[in-house]
Amino acid sequence: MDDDLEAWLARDYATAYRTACLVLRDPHEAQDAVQEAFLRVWRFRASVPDGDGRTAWLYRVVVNACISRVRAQQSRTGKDVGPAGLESLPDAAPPTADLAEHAQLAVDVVAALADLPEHLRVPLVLRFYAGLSEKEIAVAIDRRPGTVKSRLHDARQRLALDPRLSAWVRDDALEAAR
Amino acid sequence: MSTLTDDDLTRLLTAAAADHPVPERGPQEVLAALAEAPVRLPLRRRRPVQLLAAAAVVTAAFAGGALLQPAAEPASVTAAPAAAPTPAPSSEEVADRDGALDSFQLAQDFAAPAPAAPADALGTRPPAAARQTQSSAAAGPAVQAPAPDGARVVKTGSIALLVSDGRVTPTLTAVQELATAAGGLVQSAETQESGRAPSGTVVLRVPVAGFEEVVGRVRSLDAEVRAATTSGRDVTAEYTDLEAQLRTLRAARERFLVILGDARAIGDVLGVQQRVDEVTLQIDRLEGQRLLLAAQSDSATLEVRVTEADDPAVAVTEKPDDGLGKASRDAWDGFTSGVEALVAASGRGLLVLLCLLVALVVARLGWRASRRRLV
Repeated sequence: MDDDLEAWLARDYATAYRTACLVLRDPHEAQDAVQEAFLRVWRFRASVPDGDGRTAWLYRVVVNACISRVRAQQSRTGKDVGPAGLESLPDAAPPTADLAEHAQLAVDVVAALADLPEHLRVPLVLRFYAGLSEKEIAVAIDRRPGTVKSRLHDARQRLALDPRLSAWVRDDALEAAR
Repeated sequence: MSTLTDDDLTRLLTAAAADHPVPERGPQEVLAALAEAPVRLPLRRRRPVQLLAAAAVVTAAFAGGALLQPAAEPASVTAAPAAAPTPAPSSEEVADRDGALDSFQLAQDFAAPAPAAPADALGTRPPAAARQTQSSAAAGPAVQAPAPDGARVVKTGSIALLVSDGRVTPTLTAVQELATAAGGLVQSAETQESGRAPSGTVVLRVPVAGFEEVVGRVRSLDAEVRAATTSGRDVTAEYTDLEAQLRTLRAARERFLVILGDARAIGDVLGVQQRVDEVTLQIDRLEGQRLLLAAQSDSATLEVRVTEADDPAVAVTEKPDDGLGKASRDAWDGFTSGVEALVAASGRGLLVLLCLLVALVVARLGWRASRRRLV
């Protein structure tokens, strides 16, 4: 890895930050986690593999930082900060008339993601937002590719049953939101 | 059931992610944090040895904590008067323990530096290390031994005052002013003006060094003291144990961080980082307990109830602790103490059994080997 951290941040920071947002559902925690991850990766850049493995390695550290924060929060609050503990989740109240459809789409997707358990949410976000391959996700979450495939399948099945997303997968609604 | 294609999921997640604006200064903050981060020079040591040493430190921390814990309990018990049984915890103590988590925020808010407990000039008071509960009804001023240097005592008390007509609110105000003047604060206040017997209750948090003075001044107000109870619970051993565990864990974390600085392989980095995270979690948990104990022992809780008429709630209901009831309680205490002793000894028993088992296996293998050699 070159010693050009600025260029590296410019290229990957936004995607890593938003990935952490989707996993943690808390922008402040996500910013801290991503900062911690970048510092950690930079400190050990000598051991970061070149090529495609670099991205998987970065997201492995990002995911670990996110999970550490989730567990630390669970330890502090003494409760599961999973689907039941969505204090930072955007308000899922019915939108007012002037609320943009895009905002409502984001609320619905985040709420649906929040209902997924962590072990399904992480690979889903890495696959369909960060754009990692199943092999890269396997590296990122330290599981076999077959496990990744299975988890992605389970996550997709669960989301397909979510009524909040059903409306958005209709062509017209999704097109309008775009 | 709808069908979610890859494109659908990508579009949905991209739309949801776009709802989180990327902080403009995020990358700059990373660079700034990197500039402030200390540079660790890697040590040329054998990593397995370092890992083993760090693991040994963590193990020693837990072992030390486990050894200190049982040793701390008898110290506070034996310090109590020998002739009298260990007094049952007062309602304030029970409420104090039950509400430990609830008062954690208060503990953080009440983060005044620990006032040094003044030494008893006359040296006639019992040591604060002794767990004591004193109760009196309109007797002399409440006597609560101040903590000697380094000792930490969680003090609580309650006073019931009977005042003349129309004096409830002025008395409560005077009590609150006493607490404020002593450097304390009013945790809660409640008054009931309706009915034939107006009353009010105020809960004060005062620095533990000024607790006795505040109690004395409350008792000297223009009111009849119907009941007064103060209690102290020594937490010095518990606090010292927490500090020792924290020191050891922090040392272990430092060692792990040094190892982390020397790590090169991905597996090593992630493995050691996980250990660092685990130790950090333990440190955070123990630090929370330490802060709570510190706040509880820095500030005492005093509940003052003021009423105009005879209130059943302030009636002294204590009965002499003797007879069949006392015998039953002693029997129950003996039973529970025996069970606790059995459970405590079971660990050592298991260890002895394990050693015997290993010795048996070794002896059996040795016997077989010797027989084969003979044959």
